Amino acid sequence: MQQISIWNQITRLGGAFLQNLAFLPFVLFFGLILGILIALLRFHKVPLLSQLLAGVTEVVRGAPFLILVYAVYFALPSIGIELEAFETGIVVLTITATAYLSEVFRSGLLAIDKGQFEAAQALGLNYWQSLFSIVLPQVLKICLPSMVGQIVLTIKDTSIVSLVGMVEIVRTSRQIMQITLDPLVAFSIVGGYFALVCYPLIVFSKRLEKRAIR
Amino acid sequence: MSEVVKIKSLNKSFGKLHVLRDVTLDVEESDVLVLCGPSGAGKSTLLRCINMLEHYQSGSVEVLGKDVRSSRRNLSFVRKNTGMVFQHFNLFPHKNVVENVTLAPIKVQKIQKGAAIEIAKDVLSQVGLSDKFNAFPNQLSGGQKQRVAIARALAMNPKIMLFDEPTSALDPEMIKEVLDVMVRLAQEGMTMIIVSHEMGFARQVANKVGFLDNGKVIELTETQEFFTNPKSDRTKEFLSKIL
Amino acid sequence: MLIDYRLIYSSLPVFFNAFLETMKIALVSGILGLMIGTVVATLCTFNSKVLNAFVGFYTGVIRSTPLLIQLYFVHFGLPVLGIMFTSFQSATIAFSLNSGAYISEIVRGGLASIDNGQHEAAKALGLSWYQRMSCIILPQVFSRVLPPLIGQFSYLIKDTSLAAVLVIPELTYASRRIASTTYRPIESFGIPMLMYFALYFALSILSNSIAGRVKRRERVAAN
Repeated sequence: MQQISIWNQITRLGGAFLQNLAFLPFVLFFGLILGILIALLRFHKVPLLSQLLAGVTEVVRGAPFLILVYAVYFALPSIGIELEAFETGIVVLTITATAYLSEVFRSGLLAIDKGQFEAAQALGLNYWQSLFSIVLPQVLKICLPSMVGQIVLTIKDTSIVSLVGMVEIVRTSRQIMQITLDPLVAFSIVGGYFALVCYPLIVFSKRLEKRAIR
Repeated sequence: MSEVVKIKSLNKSFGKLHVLRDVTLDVEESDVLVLCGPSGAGKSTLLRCINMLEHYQSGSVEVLGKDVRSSRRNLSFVRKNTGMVFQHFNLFPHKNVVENVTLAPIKVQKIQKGAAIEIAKDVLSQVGLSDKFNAFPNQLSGGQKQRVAIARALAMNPKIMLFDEPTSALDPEMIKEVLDVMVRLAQEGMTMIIVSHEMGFARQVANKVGFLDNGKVIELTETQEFFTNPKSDRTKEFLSKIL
Repeated sequence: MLIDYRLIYSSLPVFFNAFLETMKIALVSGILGLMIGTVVATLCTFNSKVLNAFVGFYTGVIRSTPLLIQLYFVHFGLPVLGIMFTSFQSATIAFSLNSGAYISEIVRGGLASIDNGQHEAAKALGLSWYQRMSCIILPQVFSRVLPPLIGQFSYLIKDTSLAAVLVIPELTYASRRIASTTYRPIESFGIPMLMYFALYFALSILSNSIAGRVKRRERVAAN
């Protein structure tokens, strides 16, 4: 049993945590854009595409994150695409975030009074203008708590990418644990890092919910 | 005659709001006391202190000789012997009429189910709802719900019945059916304390009327006296607006 | 050929057993989680600062840390303190504690939605705290929160996939094993994913139909 000082563990795990956080910008950005796109396509009941997207969304939402990761990591090579752990993570996290967010936005769209679209177009705005100036701001306001919730879920799911070999905070903690034989300290620090980021987001999401009720 | 309810110097505040100020009043057996007064005067709060649905800061409340606050056992005793009827009925929506009425006798008085059902039959016929045995609250009209609520309270064989604005949430057509039940109860000698705005009912049935304003008992007298010869100016003002 | 149907046919028994294992974990964890969640939710009704802080800490930790870490903590961390579990035990403990936190929030919401008059009528009739909660309040709470509880069970089923990490032969573990022995990943992962989807779909239909029935009953009552 070797000693790695607690401070050392904290710094090493902190650095590794940045790997987890590195997923966020890409995943959340594309999740948002694609999510809104899919929500709009389904909302307007575009033939063929909506049904297809609905089916894929539901299958993705019904599947455990881990099996999606395994499927992408192990199945894609058979059709010629070999992804590293990080790339697999990006793909699966984006797909899941998109699926969940599209559902959030779709219910947001359904919650908005239909008259909003019509009123905007009656005023002479074209589809895209009415979308961006009138409808989307309202939808985003309603969906904000769930969006923040999805950020939390994405951050927590990054831990699962460790299971296909990516060296992020969870895998690093297991490496440390094998040296120090002290899993409690290592895992507590990992928990601490996740809580540091996720807890404030959860509190923020709850406060947004309360404000939305008013 | 024995006092069944003795309230002495009762004070209650909700935070900074002083709702009951030094209230003292006694209720004797078979009294039918109607408490009236403007909204916010503290009438409901006073009623609810009697069975400890509200806690009070100072003073004492004795029901049937027992201090309500002194022990768990005394509180239990008081609640078993007082029945309460609420403005919004508070029937249990997931249970039908018979279950609503027999729940407390079975669970609290440990009466056998068969005997409890007999009691239910009796009280439900007293309130005129024998045919609604298996109905659920959401199938009943407001007046019927309130009558079931009265039956539910009567099933416990209480010595005192407390009514908190029993007809205030009812449509006008249904007020009479509930008041009729209450009149019969009074004629049978039940001790009743009623918070109500129904002054006609008070005049007909009550033997005492109390007027509360701003947490104080302004006047408490025999019914006749109250209506024909009120002492306080505030009472006169109130009566002139109501009648 | 893209899909080997004979392979699908021959691997079904394996996947079916794995599916049963998944259901076993989910049901045990689900029931335990429900009990934990209900108890925790009722703890909050006592208005005790200590209890509320404890509950807040418990739900906060569970909600802001990944399930994987919670699983590792129970299975690899606790043995340091002398507490050792089998893989199945660690998994169900971690999953029930996790589920319990979310269920406690759901039940708390349900408790708050019960009209205070129900509590008052029960008290006025002389019912004890336990009688009041068990006969009057909780039955109403559960019929109200059934849809979100079903949703939570749906999440739990997906969470059970992490049991694969502890080499428990549930559906996700089976998918990897079959994939690595047959080198046909599309069928190996496709079948389990369809099974997960079937469960998810069935539960969401169930949840929606219950929610619809409750809405219809409330509309009748309002009239």
